[in-house]
Amino acid sequence: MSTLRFAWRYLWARPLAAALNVVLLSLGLASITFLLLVAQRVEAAFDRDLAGIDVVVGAKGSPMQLILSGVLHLDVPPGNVPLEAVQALKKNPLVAQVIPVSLGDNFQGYRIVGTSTDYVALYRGALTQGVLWDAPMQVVLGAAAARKLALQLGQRFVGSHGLGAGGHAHGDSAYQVVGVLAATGGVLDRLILTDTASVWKVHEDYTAQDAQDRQAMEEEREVTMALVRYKSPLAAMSFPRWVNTTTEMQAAAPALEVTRLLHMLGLGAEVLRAFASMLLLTAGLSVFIALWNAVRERRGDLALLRMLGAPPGRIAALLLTEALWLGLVSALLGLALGQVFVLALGWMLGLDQSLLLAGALWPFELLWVPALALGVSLGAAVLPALGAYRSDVLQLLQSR
Amino acid sequence: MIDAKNVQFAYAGGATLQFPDLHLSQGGLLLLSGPSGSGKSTWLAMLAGLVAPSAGSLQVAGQAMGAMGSLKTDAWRAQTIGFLPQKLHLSAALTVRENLALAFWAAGRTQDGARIGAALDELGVGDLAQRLPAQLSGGQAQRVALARAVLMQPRVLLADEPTASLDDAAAQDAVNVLWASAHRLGASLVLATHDARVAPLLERALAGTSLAPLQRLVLSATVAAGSV
Repeated sequence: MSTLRFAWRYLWARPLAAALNVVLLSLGLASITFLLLVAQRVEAAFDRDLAGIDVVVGAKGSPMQLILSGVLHLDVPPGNVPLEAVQALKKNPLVAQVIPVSLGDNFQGYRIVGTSTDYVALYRGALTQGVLWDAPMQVVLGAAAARKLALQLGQRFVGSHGLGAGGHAHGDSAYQVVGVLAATGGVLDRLILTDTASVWKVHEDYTAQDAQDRQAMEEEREVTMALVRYKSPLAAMSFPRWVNTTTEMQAAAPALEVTRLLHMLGLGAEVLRAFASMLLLTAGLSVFIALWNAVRERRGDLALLRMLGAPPGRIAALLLTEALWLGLVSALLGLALGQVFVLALGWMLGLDQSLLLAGALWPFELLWVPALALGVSLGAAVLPALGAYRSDVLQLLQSR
Repeated sequence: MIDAKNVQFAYAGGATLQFPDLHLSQGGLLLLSGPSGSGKSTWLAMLAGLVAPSAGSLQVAGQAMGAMGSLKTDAWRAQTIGFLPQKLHLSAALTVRENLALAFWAAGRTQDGARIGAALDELGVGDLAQRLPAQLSGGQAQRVALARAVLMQPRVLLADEPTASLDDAAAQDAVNVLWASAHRLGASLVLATHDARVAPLLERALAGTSLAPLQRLVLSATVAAGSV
């Protein structure tokens, strides 16, 4: 339709002003896109990694630390708990499943997690190569860990102490790769999984002086925490209290802690959102000024259109369409830019394998961005369009 | 055809101007003059249907002014009135051809490329179709604006100060082209001007034809009887 075409031509007849407005608007929209995407991805990541875990039982300390370290693998754990105590949990009639998790070593920054094969099943991990472990010192690699470490089936490696790269190497206890998992998009991807017994073996081999010593250590075996699934949701009412009061351990509900965490992050998001709104408001004002000036400059031309028989509504539509084009171009650019920002953030923080999945996502919420773009640009165009609607035609045509 | 009887126009400020009667037959030639403030703009605006007379009767090309709704008047103006403004008002953002296409858009009609080409050719500016207005000489630009004015084959052609700031040769050319265009369409031509060179040029163009003689309408600010 030619209204669209003429509006497009008029918009780019002032290339500098148009480009400036597109840049301003799309920066504001990119910030909004960025916020929406990050919020969406963080929540999705939490949902994904927390699924199937009703409560985490571990050493006393900060419950959030327990969740961050044991479930999301972002923090260090508060301490260890005796294996016996964890095994006792299984006897509780409210508990359907207990998955032990032992942390302590890493290989080139990737955590070696001692656990049972139930852990793989919990996150629906599927093997792309090899098999799951059936003996200590065999490991299965998450997809991202396998890719980054470039380890092949059958290859051996020695873990180092601690959860970050560069700890003391555990001399002669070497792990052997027996399997590689397919990418799940979750926490599983960046872990090295092995049997719980491997972790004990490594540390006992390393510290035990003689057989008696080893015997003593075997009796004091520990795990870092246990992931617990209830038989019925009603267990949430009593089980955590039971753990907290009758054992030396604490129970932390992931859902509760993550809600608390999101609430704390939410304060930061509010500040960013206010900032993005300011940007958008500035962009809206700039579009308004640009259109207002365009109408002033073109008053004579617009009056001539009236003289050529255009009803005022058609002229107002021309200006609104011009603003609409501006909004549309900015929305597309803003969406693209926002996606780039998210990818850049993921890349810079090394989060691209965990919280922020690589690759662009287009969640439904992003419809807000074009809606905002059109709202702001049309809003800014209303007054100038009204001005054009009410022009005194002949006066304008004769003004010198 | 323009027929005016007892036409008055009441301004928003309260003053009411009385306009002289006039009868101009279809295809006639009218020279409109008057000092500023004499209501020249208002008279042209009434002729184009942009404002309605507050009293009296004004008929343009058989249509009583002030009798139609505003949308109908806009459509009527697109079909009936051609207008050549003094400042031309060619859109700088658009090429010559697009400037003419804009007239179709304004009239709410589908663009007729052949008609645009023909209108430009008739005024000898067909080869400038792809240029921007900034790339035209003054004379070329005026011809393009005239092509736009006659594009819809109007019954009445209004020209506002078409010779202002032109030298004698250019003024003669402008008047001749205007008259020829109006004559070709059988349109009435109304020329609003202060320029004393225009009348003799038009008389010369009419000499030797069987057309009705040049009419003159001189406006003076005549306050209507009974108004403040």
